[in-house]
Parts: sequence; structure tokens; C-alpha cells
Amino acid sequence: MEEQVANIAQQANEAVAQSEDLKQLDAIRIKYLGKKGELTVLLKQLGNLTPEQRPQFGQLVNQAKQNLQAQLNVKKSALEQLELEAGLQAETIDVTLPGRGEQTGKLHPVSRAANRAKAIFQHLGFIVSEGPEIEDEYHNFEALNIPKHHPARAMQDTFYLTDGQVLRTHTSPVQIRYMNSHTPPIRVIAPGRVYRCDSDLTHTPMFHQIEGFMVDENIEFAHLKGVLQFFVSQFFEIDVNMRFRPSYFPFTEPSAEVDIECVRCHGKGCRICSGTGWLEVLGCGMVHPNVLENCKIDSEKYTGFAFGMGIDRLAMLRYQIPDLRLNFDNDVRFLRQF
Amino acid sequence: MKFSAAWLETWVKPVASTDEIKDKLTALGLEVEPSEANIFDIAVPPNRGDCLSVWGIARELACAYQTAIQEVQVSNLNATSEKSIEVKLSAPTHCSRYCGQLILGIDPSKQTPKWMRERLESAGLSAISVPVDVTNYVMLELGQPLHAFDADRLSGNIEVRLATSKEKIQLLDETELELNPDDLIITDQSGPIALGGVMGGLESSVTENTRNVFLEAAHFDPVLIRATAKRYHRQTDASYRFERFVDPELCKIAIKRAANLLIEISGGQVAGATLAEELAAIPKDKKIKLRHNKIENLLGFKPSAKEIEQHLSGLGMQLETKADAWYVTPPSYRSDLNIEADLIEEVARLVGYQAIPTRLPDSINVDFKIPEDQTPIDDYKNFLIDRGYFEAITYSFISTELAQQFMPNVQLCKLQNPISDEMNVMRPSLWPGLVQAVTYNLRRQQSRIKLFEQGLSFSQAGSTLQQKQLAGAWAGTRLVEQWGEKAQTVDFFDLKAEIEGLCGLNATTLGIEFKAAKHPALHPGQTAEILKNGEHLGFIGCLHPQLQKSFDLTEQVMLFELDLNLLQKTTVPSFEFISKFPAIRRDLAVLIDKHIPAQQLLDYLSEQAGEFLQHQFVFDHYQGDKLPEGKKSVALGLVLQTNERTLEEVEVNEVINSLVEKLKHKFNAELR
Repeated sequence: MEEQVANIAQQANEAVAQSEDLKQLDAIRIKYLGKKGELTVLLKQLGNLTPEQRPQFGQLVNQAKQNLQAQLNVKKSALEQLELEAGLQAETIDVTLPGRGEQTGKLHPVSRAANRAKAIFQHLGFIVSEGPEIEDEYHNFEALNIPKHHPARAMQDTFYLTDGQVLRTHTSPVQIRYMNSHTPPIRVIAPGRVYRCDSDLTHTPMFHQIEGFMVDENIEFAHLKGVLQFFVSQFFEIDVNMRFRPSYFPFTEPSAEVDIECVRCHGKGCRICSGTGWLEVLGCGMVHPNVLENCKIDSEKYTGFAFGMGIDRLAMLRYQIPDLRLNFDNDVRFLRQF
Repeated sequence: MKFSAAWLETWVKPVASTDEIKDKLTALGLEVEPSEANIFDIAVPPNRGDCLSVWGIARELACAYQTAIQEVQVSNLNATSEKSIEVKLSAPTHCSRYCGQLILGIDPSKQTPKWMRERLESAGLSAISVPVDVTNYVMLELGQPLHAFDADRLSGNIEVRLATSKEKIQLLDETELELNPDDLIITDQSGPIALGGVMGGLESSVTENTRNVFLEAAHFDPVLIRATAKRYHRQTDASYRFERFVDPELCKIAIKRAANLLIEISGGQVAGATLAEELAAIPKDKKIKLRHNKIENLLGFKPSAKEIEQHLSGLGMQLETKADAWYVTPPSYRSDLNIEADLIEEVARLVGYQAIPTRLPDSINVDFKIPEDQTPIDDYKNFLIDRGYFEAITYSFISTELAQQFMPNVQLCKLQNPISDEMNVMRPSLWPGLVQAVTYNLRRQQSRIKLFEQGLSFSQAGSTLQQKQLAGAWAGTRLVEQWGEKAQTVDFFDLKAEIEGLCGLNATTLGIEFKAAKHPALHPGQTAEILKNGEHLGFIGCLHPQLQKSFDLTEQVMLFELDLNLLQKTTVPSFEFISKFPAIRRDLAVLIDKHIPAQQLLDYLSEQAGEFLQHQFVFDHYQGDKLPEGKKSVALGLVLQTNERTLEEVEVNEVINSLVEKLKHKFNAELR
């Protein structure tokens, strides 16, 4: 009897040790411990034994059963572990291969500069307004104190449409449109495309400007300086020296042109600033009383300032773009850099 | 305005180095441009005609440095002959003062002296003959354009009048002009002898044999001179100055100066002088009120009264001091000073703009709105950027040819003076520019391009329409070159997915419809018109193969263009009830005629299915050999649900069966 149990146990152990997968292992379990398993069958033979022999025998078989189960468990764990590891191996990938998907596009550098400028002014409480690109002469010239046959018209070579309208030469017409439909206090910026009949190394027939104006009681030239100084420092993220030079625009009086210290050479002189150390970035001034009056705003009660700057120029200075015409080629090798 | 430093020094003794003086002028508003060290090249603004001369610049410097300025060197000349030429002003509003001086018996063999030659050259003019050089010299020196006639080639007296349209004149540059009734001409008995203020005539011009000279120095109306110069495209040094206003008093001085110089160089005798003037037409002295407090109001700081008076009188102004204001009379050469603000600018620029403080205004602006029923444009831009598009900025003007190829039925906005034939109309669509940009890139070794642009399209429809558009182009493969996926060319549905995305951004795609349509620029079998709640939103499709060929493209280009204003319209979100009860999904595969659009089936189901049908969509679509001729198989997914309870099998079956019957009936659909 004992011999029988010992034999079966040994066979079973050997089988477990040699098993290579969970399926085999399960088959062994069924063979020895299943309903018709060899050890199970043995237990059924307890009836053939004497009552004195039964407890001893029963204990023996149960012991063998427990041992085998324990072995099976250990082996099962071990096999499961192996299987897991094999699976992990098979699922290993080369993580250095590129991701499957899209590239990211980019905003045009001019849009980027415009957004940056807009954000700065919006923080100061300026709202954004827009205007049409095809304008009538009134909004582009006369309302801005530029009468017909005025030499100042030569300062901006104008595109005319066959019906007598013009392509706006600056964003200043938006001042007129806005002031005609709003009363002070007014604080507005107006970005957009502008057009001049000019095409050479440093000029394109279409470019971008941003106009800003503020009209209220007690607006001073000092405020114009303050706002522009703030803007320039924020935009370029350095404390930039600025100089205001008297100039002439028909729609402002006093008028000024603003230079900033060259952002590249910090005033020492380089190719970018033609050796002068200064870069001309914007025109500005106090809104001419005639312009206010043209919009039915009392120039005795209200004063205002206005400024205009070239966004392409700002983008070129900020992002070190060497040639204006690159902005209009739309070469993706250029566009993806921003 | 260009001249040598040496010339300037004869007017104002230098109190600083040339470089310092150049900086000073720039700080005064007379921007000095880079040039050789001892040359001044000044960009004089259009409102400072008084600075288009060495004297004018010297005046500014004398005022800024508060130093002395030389006087104009004229000595009175005694006339040795009574002979004179009479002048009649027949258009006094256009010429209100005319000075003439006859000089007889000059020696034509005399050469222009070296000092004058040098100064003329420093200003960019060459020496021609003594009389002409003297007139040019005095123009540069004092700012008064003069003209010299050969007196022997004049006949009778002179009249300054408007031309008639039959008259002609042969100008100094040997061209002939047919005159216009708006032109002011100088005439003698024979007819026009000069285009007043612009250019002299050939017949009466000075030659190398001229012995008798008639000098002219006059005051002309800026507006007329500008119009005439522009009409004939003859911008001369003279017209340039007249259109910017020349001091009406100056001609009286300048003609004496010119006579002095001419006699000094070429000898000769002074004969009769002529002065014709219409005083009523000459601009009067203005008196401008300058209030004390206005200066501070406008600038933000207050120079002392003493400083203000010093600067203004230094500039040649007469001042009358009253309690609250000065009454300022500007000198006759300052036509740009008319209102209080003009004087305030004078004060500011002399004190120096750097002296004006810098501070921020302190009010809060509450006059703005942020409407939530409008999606910001930047959201759409960012969406497209996330999807791999690069933003392009293309010119708003294109060639007529291209415009007509893309939009033949649109009335175009044409330019009178385009920069080139390639850019002579305003674009009626953003597509031509985008396709050009795509072509540009494909020719430069790029194989996959995704570009978008936001801008205006232009057309005429009664009035000028300027519409905001959002447009895009996609050429090349569906995905960026992949190691794990086979390359596939982009197709309509790739682009449609992005449009659906754009339409669904911050909005609902319910109400968005894609209808088969035709567009002249697009492939007739792959074009959809997009509608938003029945309104035209835009088009999407494949560039017409013929257009593709005309651009020499081997890749097809997928295009879209959307009306941005309509796209941006949305609604403020509002909660919608979420059902607690499960939804039931049923699938139907039907065999229908090929030509029936899938949307039609879906719309029909939606109409007919009753309240339980929440959602219906196509999840499979097959057209092929295994099917009968002319048929296609469409698999529809239906999702049924109610908020009140779980639907029962029986109910669902009823709905589905009824729908199947209806589909059979309406579309001759067979269930598969």
C-alpha cells in the first residue's frame, strides 16, 4: 500500500518537474488529482481495508495529495512567470522609431508678432477693431487731414481701383471708422493688411500694420511716450532705449517718429541698423484736432494720441528674419521655423 | 535737400561738430540721412517747404543754438536803363506775385566760378551756364525757384494766365505738351513761354550766346503746381518747392540776389525791374492764440513762459502776451503753422521730445465686449496648426487670368495702377494664392503640404464685398511619411474630417450639411457645398484636374474655403439631459442604388424613426464586384434610447421593422 502511494507520488513529481507548460501541468493534475486521478482512486479503495488500517492509509494518501498539489502550485507559478516573460519579450518594440501621426503646423511669424503686440495692448485695456481693406478716399485721406493735391499723399503711393476706391495705405482709417461710431473714452488697436505701390528690396506692395489710438480727456504726449515705452520693452523683453524725433504726419500734431536702440548691436552700429545704432519702428503723435472734429469729437474737450507700426518689421526684428520678402514666399522650410 | 557743410557755415558759424549738428537737426524734426562726412542730406518733411534751402536750415540751427545768422547778401542795383518788360497777372489766385528783372549785356563767355560750381555739385546739380546756374544757386540758397529767359527771344509783354486746351508748349526737355485749362502758363506775345512754376519753354531758354536775360521770381499756388506737375509727370526742383509753399515775400529778395550774382559773374547792366502783385490774393499774417494751459494739457509738461517765448521768437514769430495766452504771428515762410497744436509742436521740438516725461494713463477701459456666441478666429487657427497646417500669407492681388480661372462668374475688383500684370485684380478667393504657394513648395522638394490662410476675398455685387475667409490646401499623402503605414494620397474624406472638426469647434455639427455641388475650380465629382443651418458656409473639394495641369502639378490638391463670419457663429452652451437608461444599438445593412447619397438615408431615418432614435450613422460602405450592377451596400448603425425607462426588445423591434419597411418602400432597399 505505502509502496503504491510512494510510487505514484514519485511518478507525479517527475512528471511535474518535466512539464513544460501550463497545459501539460493541468493534465498532470487531472491525471493524479482529478475525479479519476490515481491518488483519488486510491482513496476510494479505503473500503477494502480494515478499520485499523484506514486512518493510517487515508492520512498517507492525503499527505501525498497535498504534497503534489503544493508542487503543482509551485510549478504553476514558475511556468506562469516564464510565460509572462516570454510574452513581454515578444511584445518589446523599438521605442526610438517615430510616432505614427501628424506633424504640428505653425502660425505665420507675422501673425505671431501681431498676436504678441495685441496681447500687450489688450492687457493695457485696448480693444481690437478691424476695418475694410478696400477704402474710399475719404476714410484713407481726407478724414485724416490729407486733402487732395497735398504733397503728403506722395508719402504713400496708393493703389487705385477702377471705381475710384483705394486699397488702404495705412490702418489709420480704422481710427475714423471707430471714432465715428463711438464716443470717448476710446482705447483701440487695429491690426491689418495695408497696401502701397512699392516693390523693391525692402518694400512689398502688401504688408501689415497695427494702429493704436487713445482719445479721452487729458490725454498727453507724455502718455503716448509711456504707452509706447511700455510696449517696446514688453515686446522685446529688454529695457530698450527709445528716442522720439519730431516728424510730420498730416493726422497728428505734434508728430514724432520713434527709433529704438538696435536690438542686435545695442546701439553700437551694425548691418541691421545701417551703422546708426537706431531702428525706426513707428510713427505717432497727438491726434490732429481736425481729425477729431471730422469725427464730431470736441477737440477742446478731448485729446488723443495715435501710433502706427509695421508688424512685418517687428517680426523681422524679433525673429531675426533677414528679408521682408521671405514673409510672402510661404516656403514651409521658412514657416516651420516659427 | 543736400548741400555741403562748408556752404552751411557761410550762414551759421558752427558751434558744434558736423556730427553734432546733424544729430541736432534730426532732433528738430529734420532727419539727416547717412552721407559723406561733410555733406548734409536732409529729409525735409512735406510741411516744411521753408527748409528746402540752406538759408532755411541755417535759420533752424540759429534758433536751436541761439546763435547769429548771416543776412541775405543783396545790394541795391541802380538801373542804367528804363527798358523793362511788363507783366500782367490774369490768374491772381494762382500767381499772386511776379518779380521780373531785366539784365542787359552780360558776357556769355564767362564761366560759373568754382565756388558756385562746387556748391551746386554738393547739392547734386551740375553747372550748365551762368544764368541757369545762378537761378539754381539762388533756389538752393534761399529756397525761391527762379527762371532765366533769353530776353531777346521774348516778344512783347508777359501775361501769367491759365492755358486754353488748344495751346501747346515745347519744354526745356524738348518734349511738347498739349496744355490743359487748369495749367498756369507764362506767356508773351507769341504764346506760352513757360509752364509756370514747373519748367521753362525751349524757345525762350538761355543759350551759350545769350546776352540779355530776363529773370523771373514768382509766388505760385501750391495746389495748382502739384496738380500740373502730376498731370505731366514733371517733378522738378522748382515744382517740388512750390507745391510745398514758398514764402510770398521771398521772391522780392531772391530776384535781387540773383541779379547781384549774375552781374558779379558775367557783368552786364541792370535794366527795369517789374513787380506785379495782387495783394488781396497773398496769404495774410495769421494770429494764432496759444493758451498757457493747453501746452501742458497736450504735452504733459510745462516749460517756463520765458523758455516758450524764447523759442517762439527765435523761430521768427511775433508775440503778443496777454493774461491767459500769447497771440502768435508766425513768419511769412511758415505756412505749416495754423493752429494752436502747430505752435505747441514747435515748443516741444525745440525743448526736445526727450524732455517730455513718460507716464502711463490711468483710466480703466470698460467699453468692450466678449461675445460668447462667437468663436475666436485664433481657435480655428490653432486647430489647423494642431492638424499640421502651416499658416500662409499670400498677396491679396492676383492676375485677372487666374481669378477668372478659379471664379469665372464673379465680378472682379480691378486695380487702375497695379504693380504688375500678375497682380492686377483683388482676389475673389484665397485658393489661387494657396495653390501657388503649394506649387512653390512642391517644386522645392516638399512632398506633402498643408497650408491655411485667413484673409479677405473681394468681389463686386452692387457694392464692393470684402468677405472674411478661412481657406486651406492639402497636397500629398494622408499622413507624414511613416515606417509603419503604407503611404496613401490624401482624399476628400481626410479633408472633410478636418472641416467637420472646424465646424464642431465650440459649436455643434447638427445643422452642418455637405451637399454634392459644382464649382468651376473643383473636380465636378468631388465637390461639396457646405451649409450651416441652410446658409452657404463654403466649398470643399479637389482642385479641378485641368487647373492642376495648368499649374504643372503632379499631385492633386484638396481645397476648402469657409465664410469665417458664419463659421464663427455659435450658441452659448446649455445643459441637455443625460439619460439614466441604457441605449440600444441596432445595425442594418441595406442594398440600394449607387446614386442615392448616404445622407439621404440618414435624414429619412431621422424623420421617420420617431422619438427613440437618438443617433444614426454609416459605419460601412461597399461598392464592388460582389454586388449586383448599379447597387451599393450601406451599413447603418442606429442608437435608440429614452430618458424615461429602458426600452424593451419588443418596442425596439417594432421600430426597426417599421423602418426597414419604409426604407424598402422609399428607396427600394433590400436588407442584407
